[in-house]
Amino acid sequence: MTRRYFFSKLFQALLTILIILVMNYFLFRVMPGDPVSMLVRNPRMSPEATQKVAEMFGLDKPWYQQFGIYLINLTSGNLGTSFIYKKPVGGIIMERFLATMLLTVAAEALAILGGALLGIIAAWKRGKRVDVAALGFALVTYAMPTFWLGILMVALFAVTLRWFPTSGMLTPTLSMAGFWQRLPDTLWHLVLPGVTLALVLLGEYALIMRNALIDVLTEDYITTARAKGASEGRVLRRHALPNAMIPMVTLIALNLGFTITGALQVETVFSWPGLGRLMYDALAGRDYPLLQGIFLITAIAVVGANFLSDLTYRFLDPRVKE
Amino acid sequence: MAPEILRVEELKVHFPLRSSFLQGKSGAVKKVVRAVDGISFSIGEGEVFALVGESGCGKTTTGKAVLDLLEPDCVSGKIEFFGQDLLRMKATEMKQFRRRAQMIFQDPYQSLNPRETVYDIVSEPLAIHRLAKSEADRRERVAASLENAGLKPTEDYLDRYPHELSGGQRQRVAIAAALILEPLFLVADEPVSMLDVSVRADILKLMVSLRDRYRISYLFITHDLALAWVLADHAAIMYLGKIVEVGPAEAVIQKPRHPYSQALVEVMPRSEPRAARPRVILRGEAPNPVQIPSGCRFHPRCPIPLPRCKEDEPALEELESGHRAACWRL
Amino acid sequence: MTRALWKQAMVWLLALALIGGGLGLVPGQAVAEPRYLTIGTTEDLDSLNPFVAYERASFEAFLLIYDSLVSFDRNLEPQASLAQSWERSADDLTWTFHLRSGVKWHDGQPFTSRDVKFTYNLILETGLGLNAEFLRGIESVEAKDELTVVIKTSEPKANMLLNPTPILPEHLWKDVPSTELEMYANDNPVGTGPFKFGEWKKSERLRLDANQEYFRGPPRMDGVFFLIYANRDTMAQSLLVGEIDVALNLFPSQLKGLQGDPGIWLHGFEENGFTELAFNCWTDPSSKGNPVLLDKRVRQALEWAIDKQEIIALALEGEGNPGTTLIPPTDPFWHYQPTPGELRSYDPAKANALLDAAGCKDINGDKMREDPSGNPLKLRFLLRSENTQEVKAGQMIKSYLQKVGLDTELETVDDGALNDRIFQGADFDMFIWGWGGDVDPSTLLNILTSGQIGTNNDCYYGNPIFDALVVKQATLIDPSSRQDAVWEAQRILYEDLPYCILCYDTSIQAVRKDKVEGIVPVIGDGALFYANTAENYLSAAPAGSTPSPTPTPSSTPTALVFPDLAGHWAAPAVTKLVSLGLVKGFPDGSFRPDAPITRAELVTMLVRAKTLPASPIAAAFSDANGHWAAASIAAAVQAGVVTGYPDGTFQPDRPVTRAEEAAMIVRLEGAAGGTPEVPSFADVPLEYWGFGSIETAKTMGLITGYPDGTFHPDQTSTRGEACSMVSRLPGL
Repeated sequence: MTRRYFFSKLFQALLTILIILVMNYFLFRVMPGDPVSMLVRNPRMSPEATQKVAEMFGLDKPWYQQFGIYLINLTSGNLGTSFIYKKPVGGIIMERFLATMLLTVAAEALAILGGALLGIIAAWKRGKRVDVAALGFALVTYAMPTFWLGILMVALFAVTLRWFPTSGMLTPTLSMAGFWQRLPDTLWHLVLPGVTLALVLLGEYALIMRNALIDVLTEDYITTARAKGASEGRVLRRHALPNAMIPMVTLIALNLGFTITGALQVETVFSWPGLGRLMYDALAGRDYPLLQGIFLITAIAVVGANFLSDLTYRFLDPRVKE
Repeated sequence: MAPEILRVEELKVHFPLRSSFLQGKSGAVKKVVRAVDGISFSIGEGEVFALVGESGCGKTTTGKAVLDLLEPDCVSGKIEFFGQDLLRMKATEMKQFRRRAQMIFQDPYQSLNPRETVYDIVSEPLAIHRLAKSEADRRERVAASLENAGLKPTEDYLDRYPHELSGGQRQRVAIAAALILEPLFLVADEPVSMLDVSVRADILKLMVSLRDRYRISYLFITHDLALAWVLADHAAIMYLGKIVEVGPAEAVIQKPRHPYSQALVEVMPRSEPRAARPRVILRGEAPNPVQIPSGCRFHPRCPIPLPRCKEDEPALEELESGHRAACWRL
Repeated sequence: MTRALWKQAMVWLLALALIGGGLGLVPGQAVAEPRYLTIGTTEDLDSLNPFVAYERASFEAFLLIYDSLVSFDRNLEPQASLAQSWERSADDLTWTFHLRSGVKWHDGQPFTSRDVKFTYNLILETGLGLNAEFLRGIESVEAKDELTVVIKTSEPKANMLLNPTPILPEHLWKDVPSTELEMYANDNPVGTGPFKFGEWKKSERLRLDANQEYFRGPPRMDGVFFLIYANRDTMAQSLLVGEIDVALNLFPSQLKGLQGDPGIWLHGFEENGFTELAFNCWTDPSSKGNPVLLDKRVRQALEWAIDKQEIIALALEGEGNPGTTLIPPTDPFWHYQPTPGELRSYDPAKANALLDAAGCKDINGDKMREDPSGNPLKLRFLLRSENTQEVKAGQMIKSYLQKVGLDTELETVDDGALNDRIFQGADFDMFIWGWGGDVDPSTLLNILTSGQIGTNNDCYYGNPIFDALVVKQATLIDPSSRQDAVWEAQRILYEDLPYCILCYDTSIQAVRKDKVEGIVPVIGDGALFYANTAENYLSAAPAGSTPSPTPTPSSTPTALVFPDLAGHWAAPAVTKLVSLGLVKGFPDGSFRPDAPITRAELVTMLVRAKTLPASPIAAAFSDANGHWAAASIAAAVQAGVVTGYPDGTFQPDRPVTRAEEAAMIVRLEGAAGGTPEVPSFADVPLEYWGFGSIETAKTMGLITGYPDGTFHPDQTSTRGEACSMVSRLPGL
């Protein structure tokens, strides 16, 4: 891969983010609901104090000035102050970011591995019972409502079998313990929400992998490889899979953005303190700065994921033009 | 007579059509595509055997069947390679077989893995069969094979990807990859039909020279009778899964006896003035292998059918030495 | 994948699992596991800053971290807190509070009157926070000396002792500029309260650690966890599994899953709050509301047209009681019960009659009424999207109104949008919302004063007579006069009906009584938590942790064994009883003489004191079997010393009041005393239920009372007081 390719893709990504920034900013100003009234919860505040608060958040200035201030602040990493929490947005998001990352990464990894495996088995044994079973499983989990699946998991694994905790990220009494004691506890808490989210995502990956692989398996070079005496495993590993991965990579990159905020349902069932719930609370509270911050982070994640997948294409498919 | 490399007896390849779940359950008769419906032939050492016919007649399927590249459930009959029954070979014997028999495909782009470099493609067979003693040894062999295939200077080609090569070059790479195992038998499935006319001659010349140098036998599959005329020692004409005429290439092509062969020959370009021959014009559409006509398969399109042709299927009758045809008129 | 790769992967996974598991087993500090009261709730705090907080979860936390001058006991009566005692001047305008000495802030600094002065002045100055209302009428706050605060009011202030304003530490707050008060996060609140701030992770949990130096004695648990749940079903499951000890705010739909577990106590109770149907009553011409609603006959008609019982049964799943007047009946003293002549119930005929009288008739025969001018009548009815029960209720109301010919247009919006519609031009006709009240009735009454139009008064009701009455009642210190005024105010509201009270909210709180004990409903059958009092947080203890039933007589002097008895007035009595083996201390070596005494503890003491015979039959109470004091309870019941409650419970962990204590002792002695005509105690009148036993006890010399001639019959008795009384029994 050349430097030119890398930088051109990088430039595209940054440009996209800039456009998103602008749209992001103005989109929220169009929402109904005066932020000042939501900001000032105290119904008995005097007009002077209200004015002061408006000043503090810069809500009294004309829109272009506000936008300018916003951009300048961004360059120094200042994402504004949350209306609800009265604290810097960046800090609030970062606190939840780790929780979201844990859940998302674990679920995605599980879903990709599981889905790919399922898709491979289904494609390899196309038409046979294994294929039908695998396909059926993928479709069922894909169609299942996330919330319902979550409640089911809790009822089965947390309540009936008592193998895992029902919710939360940490056993409360361990909140005062050291890192090495908290780590396995958090991982234990991660299992049910992670598996739930993974099951929901898995179906899509399985279907795509299956289709892609079936397509690839009809190509002549697969037959060539067999003719050369390659074992089935080698054919799969060296010839079929790498080519089938291309549509998978696209899907993974596309999904990543949605997964972060789409994990909202899982977060609600398991009371997992992630960005999804944060976004919901911010929305209900008309907290512009917080909403903007979350959307910005999500946009960066999506653009970033696509950027990475662009880079990955070059490795996967030499045919991609520079 | 050259020693027999390949002998095929009553080879049948039947593909089940995907029936729906319910159909299968209700016991309805599964539809089957009878791609190859009982053919027999043999190929000797150093011989070029042409298998000719329209698309859909089963020639490509035959080629794949002969190399055991099809689903075993679909293949029946006897395929003997150096006297050993291919369909009953054990795994280790299979691996040996793969070294000795290779295939070249029609579409040089599709048959090469687009993600691999020329070096990867040509060296893979070595890796599979663990033939190279060292990295250096491997590079040597790859270079030698590329040279054999006419790609010089070899260093230029090693790191290229298939999409960076021309059609002719890709086919040479395919040939190099096939040759690196030093096979005795090659199935060539329309190896030049997707190449420019100007390039075809070179590739064909290459194939002939390889046959001369290494005594490689070919099963040369084509729809182009002219090529068979140029290259083949023996030729067989296939129609809807059966061989309708077979024999020494000259005999079959210069003096075709089956109406179908005659029609094919008719459309061959020639430089000689035409000898007087009955003009055979085919009517009707290309055959559908799912619905095979009763009696002689060719009768719906035959310009000179007899009433009997609709009822009974003719068998191959020996006409002259080695030259056989299946037609009620003979 | 090849076999080799799979094998490798397996080995790695196994290794990881072992490491992870091993880490979990690594012992940290080898300390006994701290035992926290773990409470699950769906409500999170919004802020730790009392000037900013709005959510009641925040105020519950303030109740535990901070103290006020006066707090509420289990009967929601004022009890001494930071103020140990107080006096009122003859003209009722000056209050003098004597503060408790030796109280320390959580950071070790001493608490003084300057903190009180600072806190109150800051609130008065800025008017910030929901507590500002409670300080209305205060003119000045002076610190006369280190432990005395003098507060002057412009008018007599009836709710001076019902004021839960938390006292903040001056030394930590004085440097926050008042303009930045609202932005101050107060991330590490320091108070004097029974719990110290531990950690707050928004949307996850709040941790409070027990304040071991609390002036009333430390809480019996090591701390409290509030775990925030995003989903009630998961919370119910959590309770079932035992991850939490308490679950708050459950819906009826979760009850089924929990009812099967005998270890779970499901407590339903009526809250101090209501859900109302509010009407746009703004008379200002710029109001965008439909003027038809300005006629109170129309509003009353709507109440007649609505079947509240059915709404409660269907939309609220049976959780709630039909509403009438503004102050909920959880406090029967302030609640006004309409007379049978005033009461409106479900009667569509009356609704129709009133609507006709108001001039809203169906002119064009489409079965829907037009307004008095003949225009089509369509009332815009807003509902809160996040409350599915309210939305259902709204839909039911729509159909009730349709039956009497009123056309409504339903609109479901989120809270923010509803706020905007209400406060920007009064662009609505009706909506459903709710309010929660305080112990002081002023809170709810103030909402509907005309001065609150644009802030709390969301229905824009303005009635100068009502306003005057609300002001007046706040100055009436005499309870009975105040009651008259509060009742009259409610009567006016019921007549004018700016709010049609649909129902008084009920709530369900659940406790795993197999894991915690010592939790008792407030005022007989009220809430356990979110009850305006911290009592249950103090008395909650791990199940089975009360002193074991077989005391071993101790030969060592009590003063050495119990450090918290040193210098205590009850020390001699306690010593005597301990040496007699009638009472024991706690496993941690304390005696806690100022802690409340429970029914079980007192009964046990009395049974042993008189060596009452054991009862062959177990007492038939649903909550006494398996209790550590079951045997004593049975014996006491057999001896007629004590009875259970009408609902079949004994409530052994419920604290005993002084009057109850006197009654028990008198029965124990089998004495009947004289009933003098003039009561001995100012606060124990002839009509009082315990009058007889208290007088008898006094005659027997078992009780004395307070220097000011009162007895405080309903005050919770302490362990020290009980020991003192028991030690005076004849024969000991």
